[in-house]
Amino acid sequence: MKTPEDPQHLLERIRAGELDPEDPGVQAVAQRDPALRELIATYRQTQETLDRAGRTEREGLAAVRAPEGSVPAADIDALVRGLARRGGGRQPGARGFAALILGIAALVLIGLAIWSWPHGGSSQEPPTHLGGRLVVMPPSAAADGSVLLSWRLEAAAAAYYSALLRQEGDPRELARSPRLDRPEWNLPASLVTTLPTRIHLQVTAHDAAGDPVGHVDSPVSLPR
Amino acid sequence: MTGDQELVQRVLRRDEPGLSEFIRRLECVPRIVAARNRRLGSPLAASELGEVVQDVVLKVWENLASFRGDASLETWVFRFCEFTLLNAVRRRRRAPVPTPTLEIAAEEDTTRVERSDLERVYLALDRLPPPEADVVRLKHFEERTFEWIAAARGEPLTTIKSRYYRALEKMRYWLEPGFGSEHQ
Repeated sequence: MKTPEDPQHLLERIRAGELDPEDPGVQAVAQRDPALRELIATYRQTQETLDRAGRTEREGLAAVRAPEGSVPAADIDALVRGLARRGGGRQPGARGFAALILGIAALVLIGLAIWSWPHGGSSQEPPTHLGGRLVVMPPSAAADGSVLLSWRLEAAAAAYYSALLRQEGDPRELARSPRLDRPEWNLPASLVTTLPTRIHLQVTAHDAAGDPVGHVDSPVSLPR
Repeated sequence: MTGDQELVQRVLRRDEPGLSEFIRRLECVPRIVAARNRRLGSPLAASELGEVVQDVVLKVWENLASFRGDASLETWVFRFCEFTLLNAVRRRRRAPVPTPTLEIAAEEDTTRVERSDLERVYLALDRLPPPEADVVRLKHFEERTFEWIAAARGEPLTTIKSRYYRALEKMRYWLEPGFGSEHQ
């Protein structure tokens, strides 16, 4: 039975937003419990990194009010107006026919993915997308027991990073890919045997400059 | 919809007054880039900063439809400035050294992309579910209290704190130096 001083109970209450790690009661237990102490230390470490990042951004944004920059304002005016004339900016409907074709292609791709999903699409949690649209394809198993995970992005990407989680939002990863140059990750049989059938796949796509251009979180059923 | 979201929608519709206002707001780009370059010890010359500014404006334009209005337009633009400037600095470090006295060339690392704290934080925020990223951003970037965030978002204080501590636990892994910079 959990007591109010049980470290696991305190941790659950912190995660539920009912207790602060700096609460004297938590601190007292943390003195005795190394795991809780370590967690509080990592909270602090992460908070310090975030504080530094916040300060850097605020300091940089203070420059918004500076009297002048390195490039005359007219250059930005000309650049943006040129881009607007060219029809960029991913304006909905701006590229009428091309947008329609791309939209149909994406729908077909998504439809195919749902249709060929091993357990059917209706009971799956919807994948969440950020940035460019990434679509996770159904995994395929090879005779040697390996499984190929693959995905498609609407635009080209230079690299992909992927991680497998037990469930969405779980900070502990089951496996992490190296940098992937192609939109696929081959899981060797030795890894597949250690994984549960239902896992969660995260993929982030980066452009050549290293900036993220797409991200997807999606449940995946591994074929055996 | 926030005022900045409305402005972006007007720009996407090519509304002329909206476009003019947007251009005026983008005048912050050269200022931010110049300030950040100075803060880094001026690794880039003024002529190189012009190219960075152009790249930032291009990236902002290409990603305009993804602007969600979680923060001000300038804050959103700042992120593009940071990534673009640091990428330019890294490219500069990998370039042939024009003079033997250029100290930054001595630190060159052509095999790994080392990320700054701020870049790692931005990438980690991207990986969080938006409600968790929102709380972290308001707490650390806008220095808001939990109580303020709860009132502003119309949610219970415990919900806000719960999101925050869950986000911290995830971010501790993603903020480790070298995360996301592995090579095959």
